[in-house]
Amino acid sequence: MSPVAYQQKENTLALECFDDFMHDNLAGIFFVGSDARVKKLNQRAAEILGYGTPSEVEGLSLSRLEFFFSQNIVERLQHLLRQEHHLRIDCFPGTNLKGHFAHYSLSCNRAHDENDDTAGILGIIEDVSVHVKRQQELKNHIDEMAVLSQISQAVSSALDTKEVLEIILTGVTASQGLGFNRAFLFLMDDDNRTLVGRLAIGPTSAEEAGKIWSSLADDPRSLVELLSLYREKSDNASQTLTDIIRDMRIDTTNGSVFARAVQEKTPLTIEYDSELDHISESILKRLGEKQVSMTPLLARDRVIGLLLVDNAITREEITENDRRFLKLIADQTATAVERSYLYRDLMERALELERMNGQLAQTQNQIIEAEKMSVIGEITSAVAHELRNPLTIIGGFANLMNKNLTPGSGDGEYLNIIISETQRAEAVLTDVLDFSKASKTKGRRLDLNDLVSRALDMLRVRMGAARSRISFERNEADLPLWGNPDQLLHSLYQVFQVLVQDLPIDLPRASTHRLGDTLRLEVCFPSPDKLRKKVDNTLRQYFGCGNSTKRLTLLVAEETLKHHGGVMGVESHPDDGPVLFVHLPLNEETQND
Amino acid sequence: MTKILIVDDEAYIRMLYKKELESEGYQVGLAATAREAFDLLAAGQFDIIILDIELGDDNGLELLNEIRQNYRNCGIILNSAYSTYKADFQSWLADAYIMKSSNLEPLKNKIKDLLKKDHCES
Repeated sequence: MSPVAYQQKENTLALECFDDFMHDNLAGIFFVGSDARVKKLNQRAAEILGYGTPSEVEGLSLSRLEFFFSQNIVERLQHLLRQEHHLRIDCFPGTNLKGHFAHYSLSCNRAHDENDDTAGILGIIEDVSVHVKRQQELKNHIDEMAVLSQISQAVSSALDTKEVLEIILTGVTASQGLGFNRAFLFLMDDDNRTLVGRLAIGPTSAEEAGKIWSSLADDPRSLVELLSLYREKSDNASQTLTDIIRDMRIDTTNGSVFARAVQEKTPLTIEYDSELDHISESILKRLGEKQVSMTPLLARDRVIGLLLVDNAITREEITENDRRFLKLIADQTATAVERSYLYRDLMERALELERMNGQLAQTQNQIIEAEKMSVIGEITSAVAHELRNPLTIIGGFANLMNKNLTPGSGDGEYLNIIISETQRAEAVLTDVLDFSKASKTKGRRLDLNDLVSRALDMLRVRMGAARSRISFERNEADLPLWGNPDQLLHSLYQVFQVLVQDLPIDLPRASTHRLGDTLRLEVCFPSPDKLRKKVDNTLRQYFGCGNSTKRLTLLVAEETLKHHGGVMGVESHPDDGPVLFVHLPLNEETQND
Repeated sequence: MTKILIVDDEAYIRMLYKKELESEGYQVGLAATAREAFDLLAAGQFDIIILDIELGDDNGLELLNEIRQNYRNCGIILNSAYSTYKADFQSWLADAYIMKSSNLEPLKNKIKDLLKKDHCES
């Protein structure tokens, strides 16, 4: 075979192979001649362009295909015939002869003849709509993940429940987030199986929406910025919207759609129509919207709330994709809300622990004080007993000498001073010994009313009913405190004794009250005006900074009260006259002895 | 004449009581320890014993127990600077418990009461 014949055969074989390749290929393949007319194309390419057969296209100039490729692509193909070697367009939109819209990719190469002159363009065109759709879906997912991540990041730094809820609802309504017009949050009251309106974000009218959205457009912010500024964004509109649902209670045991969403733990969308149950209908009316999408907040398979969204302003339909995204946010919200609950519980326990630690420290101090008092009691007891014998001897001999003294002798006056001062010292010793005896008794739970009654009883027994006329009024039944019963009883007795012995008043009035964490015993002196100043002075002398045997007695009582965390003092009331008060700390807890 | 025994380790207390009670017409014996008290009791009969509780090395309550067993007819007055012994059941063997005081009237009144009671019983 001659070389020319061989070359012709080879060309023929190549063309046959090319025909087979074009016929069998799933992509559209076409060949445009150097005159910019379609010379050849396969069935798939004809279908993509919207023709029935390749022959309908063959012979058409490129410019006739502008309806599909657009003018720009046609010009680029014509340019390729002259200069470029390759043209690739990954994605372009096209509407074919039949009006079908899709996305396509185009890849073309300039073909050359045996003389290396331009023979035409060989091109491959493919429908990439599925790829584009998937790419778009992928982009949507990435965007959603970014929104979720941003909300999650903002929520992770918030521990207060209200703060968490505000961040979530901001994310749900921000155009950079989920972009719903309004969002409402209800939290579950487990005791009553009721959803309680808690927080709402969004405009209440189209006018407000216009203002808010235009101001946001003037000062565009990213979602992260919006979430971080949620406090500043807490505007009146959101407050007004929150007020709409604040007193709303939705029973989750009735048959409403809202109850069903909670019971079935499933997202639902409801629309206002004639078949809607009357409870859901009234809720929709209250919210002022015809279509609402709701998603239960599930934490560890337990419904802790319900998230409601709508597009009341833009009237955009809530799509399946919107609902799916909302479900993701709801799950995250539930976790964040539950974490905030746990944090709240933790804080409450921490506070309780702090309070208990404080109480423990106080108890420890009281124990130390009690030990100190016990030691002091033992020392004073020993000293007092050692003093009693010499006092007995001094006073006894003074008495003896006084009896034997010649009447009219000047020494009698001095002996009487010795005798009276000895008796006074013995009286102090008796008080001190009573106190030291009381120090040996351990603390227990007491009642102030009971202590006052017993102290007044003691007063009546020791001084006689005629001299101990202090009336007592119990204003409250239970006034618990913790302390040494003997010490406190002795102290109150000493106070009452001083009052009835040294004040020119017939009927002091004692009464008890509870003032917060403090128990108050007060003694009023309904004295006439002319005696009021004297009573006031006497009280201040005894209970202030006086210096007398009585003062010494009261010092012991005062120290005992201080040791029990209490205080004693005098107040002057313009109308009622002076008031002696004793404050002791309220203690309702049972402690170990 | 009524005989009273004073048992106290404080010399001046013994002296004071002796002076005071003798001025009242009583015959008074003095003991500073338990041994001295028993010696005097063995030597002669006493109508009243005034007994201190903290007697140096001796214990007045134990002494009270022994006296009560051996001298049943004596009136015994416990006389102490301590009120706490009132709660000790051993002190209940005594006929009276008087706190020490420069005012001896309560003690003297109690002596008279016991003597009167004794007289009535006899």
